[in-house]
Amino acid sequence: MNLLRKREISVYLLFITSMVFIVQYYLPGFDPLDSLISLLGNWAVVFSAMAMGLGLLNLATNSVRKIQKRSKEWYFDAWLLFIMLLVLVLGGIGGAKDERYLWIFNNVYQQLSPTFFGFAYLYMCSVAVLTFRVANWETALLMLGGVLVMIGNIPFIQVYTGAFVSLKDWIFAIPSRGVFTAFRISMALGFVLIGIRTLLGIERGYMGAEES
Amino acid sequence: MNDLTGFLFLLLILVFYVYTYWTSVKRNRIPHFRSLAGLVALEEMVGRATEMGRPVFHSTGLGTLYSSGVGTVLASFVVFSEVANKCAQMNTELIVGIGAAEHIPIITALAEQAYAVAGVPENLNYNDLVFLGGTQSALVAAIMEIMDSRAPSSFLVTGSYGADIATYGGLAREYGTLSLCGTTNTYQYPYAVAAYDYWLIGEDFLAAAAVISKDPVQISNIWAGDLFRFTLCIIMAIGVILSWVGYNITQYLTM
Repeated sequence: MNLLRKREISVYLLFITSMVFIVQYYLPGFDPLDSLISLLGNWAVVFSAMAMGLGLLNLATNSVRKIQKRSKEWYFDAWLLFIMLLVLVLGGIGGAKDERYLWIFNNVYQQLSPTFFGFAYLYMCSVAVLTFRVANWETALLMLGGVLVMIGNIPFIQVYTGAFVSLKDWIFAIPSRGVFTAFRISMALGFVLIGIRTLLGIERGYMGAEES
Repeated sequence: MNDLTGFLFLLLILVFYVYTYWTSVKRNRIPHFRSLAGLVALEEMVGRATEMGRPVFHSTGLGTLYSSGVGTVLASFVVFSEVANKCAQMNTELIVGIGAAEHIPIITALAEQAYAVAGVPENLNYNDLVFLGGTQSALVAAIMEIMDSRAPSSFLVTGSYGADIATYGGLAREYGTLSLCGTTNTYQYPYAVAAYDYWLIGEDFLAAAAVISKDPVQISNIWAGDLFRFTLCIIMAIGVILSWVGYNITQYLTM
């Protein structure tokens, strides 16, 4: 085999590594395999950390480029760079328990994250209203189901009448669960098949285009 | 017959189907596979961007390579590779929003290969392969910014996402962008269908890779999966009828 054929090497490596995990699953407690799995797990952690470094580099490069070009709203990129460097320096010097580092994490990041999430959810609600159209009887049925579930979730309704609550529970327990189970079985099979194709090296699309 | 026997029985049926289709492919009896509207639309999405002189924007999701949902991530890479090929061939601007840091080298390599195979490696703009932060909030904010500042003509959202899928669909509508969603997150299917122009959901998204490749062996693999699913439906129907007469077969089919 020509060692320069990188695709083949990748496929063999993938197959061997996967086999290690599969065999270990069926032979728990077999020491040589357990330590190999532990080693591979550590490698994965190291790769993830290195990837975060790449991400940092990518973000920094893009921000610097935008600042240099004075692109639209470039000052946000300058602010991003400043905060990124500040956190990196504080965390790098004082460690994860540094007071100043923790203050930024707890009072800025921890607060901004759910705030933005709330904003995104509000936007999502408007999307649900704006994009949904009752165009045929299937969508009408979907809307009816949605309205009934929403009514069943209103606390006032839950306290004064049980009718909508039991209807909502029935929708969740029977039609909804049935359809979701079908989706899940179908998709689990899809995962098994893509797994088999990838392990056997039949599926190589994720390795990119090939010269014809 | 213990619990594992039932599982092995089902596995043997699947292997039998895969083998049968595989051998039929070897005899040049290539099965036809249903057309996936979402995949057919890729040509339209890149073509539209080319005609309008605006970029194609592809976000590849947050999924990691070490989780059980890696199949979704791989399928997302395959769709991205196809989009990059088409953009390279049509000389269309391509922006990629990279959600997970570990995707950066893979996405870069896929884009490089696509442009190299098209014979235009110099057209790849590395500045447009952008890492978008690695968290859901950061991804939403960054995608909003790109939609606003770059005004892409087509927007593809493929891979692992949560509730933010609805937000991207709404953004695409707001900016008049042609959109496609590819996901295996069952809770997001209604949003994918309601808010996007095209979608590849569930098993169709995972099968997309095989269909794009046009490889008969891969397509026969998907065919075998379809037939196995049909067999499961029959087994379930038999199970329901048997349970009505007081005989429970689920004890043999659980792991």
